[in-house]
Amino acid sequence: MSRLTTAALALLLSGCAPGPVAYVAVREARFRSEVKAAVPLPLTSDSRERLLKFLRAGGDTDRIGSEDVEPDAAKRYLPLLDLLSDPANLALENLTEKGTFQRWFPGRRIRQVIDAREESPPALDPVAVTDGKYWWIFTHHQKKLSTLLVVKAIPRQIRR
Amino acid sequence: MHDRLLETLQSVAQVRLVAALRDDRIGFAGPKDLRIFIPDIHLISEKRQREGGFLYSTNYPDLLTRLVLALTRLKTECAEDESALVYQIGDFLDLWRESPGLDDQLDAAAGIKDDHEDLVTALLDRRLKTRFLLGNHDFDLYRWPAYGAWERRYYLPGVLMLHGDLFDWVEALPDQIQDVVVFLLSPNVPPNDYALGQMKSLIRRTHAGRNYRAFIGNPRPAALGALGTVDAIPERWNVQSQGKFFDSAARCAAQGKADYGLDLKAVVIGHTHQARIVVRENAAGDFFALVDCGAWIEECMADGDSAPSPNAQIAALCANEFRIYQLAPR
Repeated sequence: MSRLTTAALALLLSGCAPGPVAYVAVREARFRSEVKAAVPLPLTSDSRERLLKFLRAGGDTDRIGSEDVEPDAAKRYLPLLDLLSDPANLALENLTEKGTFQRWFPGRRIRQVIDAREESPPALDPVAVTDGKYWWIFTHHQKKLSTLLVVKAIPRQIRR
Repeated sequence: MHDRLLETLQSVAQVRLVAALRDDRIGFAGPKDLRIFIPDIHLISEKRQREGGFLYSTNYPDLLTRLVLALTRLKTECAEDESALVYQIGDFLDLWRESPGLDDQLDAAAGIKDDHEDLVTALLDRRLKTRFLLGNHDFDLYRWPAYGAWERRYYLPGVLMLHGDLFDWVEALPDQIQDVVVFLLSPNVPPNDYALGQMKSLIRRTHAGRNYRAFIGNPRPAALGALGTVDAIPERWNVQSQGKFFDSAARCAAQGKADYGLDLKAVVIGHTHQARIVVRENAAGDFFALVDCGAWIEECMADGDSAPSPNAQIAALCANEFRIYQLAPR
C-alpha cells in the first residue's frame, strides 16, 4: 500500500464496514500525457517518443524539452513502451489477468475512472494501474487494449 | 406510439402478446409519451457462467442487443413533441451470481461488462439515455461512481416503478423495512446512507445461502396464460385478478396515498421473472394494477405451447395502455 501514490484514490481494506470505493480521477491537461484524446494502441514510434518526453519531464508538460526531471525514464519505461507497441501484448487479459505488465503495475486494477471531460461515465470501464508515479489508464474494445492515457499521480503521503 | 414500438419489435423479433390493459383510470394519458420497460437481464461473465454451474444464462443476448439498437433508432426518430424513454428495471448485472462473497472493492461489474460489450454499449448508448433501476442482484453498484445515476424507483404520472424486491421484504419482514419504504415511496425523501445500508443488509439476508445454480426466481417455467397475436390488440388481454405481490403492491400504493398524497394507479416491477398484468377494481371506481414486466432469464410457459420458452419480455406504457410482449428470434 505504501508504494502506491494515487490521484484521488481511496483504497480500503476494512472488515465489516464498507470502505471507500477506489477510483482514479483524470488530472488537468498539464499533468496528462495527452491534452485531448488518449494515445491509440499499439504505440507507434511517434507516440512512444511523445510519451517518453512526458515521462522524462516528470509528468509535467510545462517542463517538456526544458528539463529532464527524470533522466532515467527511458531505462525504466522503454521496456514497457516496447510491450505496448506489440499487438500481441494488448489483449485485455494481459493487463487484468496475466502478468504481462506485473513488473510495472503490481497493484490492483482500478475500474472506476472519473473523467469530467466526458459527457457520461463510460459504458465499458477502463482499467487504471499505477507504477507509483503515474496512473496508466487503458480503454479497451472487443477485449483489446485500445487507448492509453498517462496521468501524473498525486502522492497520498508526503514522506518526512 | 404503441404501434410504432410494435413495428420496431417486429423488425427484429417474432412478437406475441402476453398481456394488455387499456384503461383511462391509469392516468398516463399522453399519446406521444412512450415508456418502455426492459426487465431483469442478469448478465454474468463468460468465465463465471462456465465455472459456476448455473443452469440459466441471459436469454437471447444477440436479440436483446438488436432490440436495444432498434429502440435507439425509434427514440432518435421521434418528432420534437414525442418522447420514448427506456427503463431497465433492475438486475441488469448479476453481481451475486458473479461473485458469491461480495467484496466491496471487487470489480465484478466491470468484468461482466467486458464480456458483453455489444449489449452493454447499446444499452448505455448516450443517444438512448436508458434509465436504470438497481435490482437486488446489482444493488451494491449504488456506491460506485459510474452508477451514481442509477435509481431505486421512478415516478411516472400515476405510476411507481420499482425493481420489486421491496415486496419480498414487505411480505417477509414487515416490521423491519419502514425506513426503506419511506424513501422508496416518498417523492421528497432522497435515500440516505442509513436507509441504503438497511436495504443492503436486507438484500444480503435474502441472498444468504443461495447459490442460484438451479434457478434464480422460479424453479419451474413461469405461467404466462394464453398469449395472443399482435394483429389486433384488444382493450384487455390476459389480465389477471390476483397474483404474487399484488396485495403488497396495493398496500404500498395505499400507504403512498395516505402518507404522501400519491395517487398511484399502477406499480411496474420486474424481479419475479413472471410477466403478467394484475388488476383489481370495483364498482366504486377503485382501480389498481400491478404490471410485472417479466425477464430475460429463466423460462416461461404459455397456455397451448408444447414446451417452455425462454423469457424474453418487454413492456410499454403509452396513452393509458400497458402492453407486455414475448419476443423470440425471427
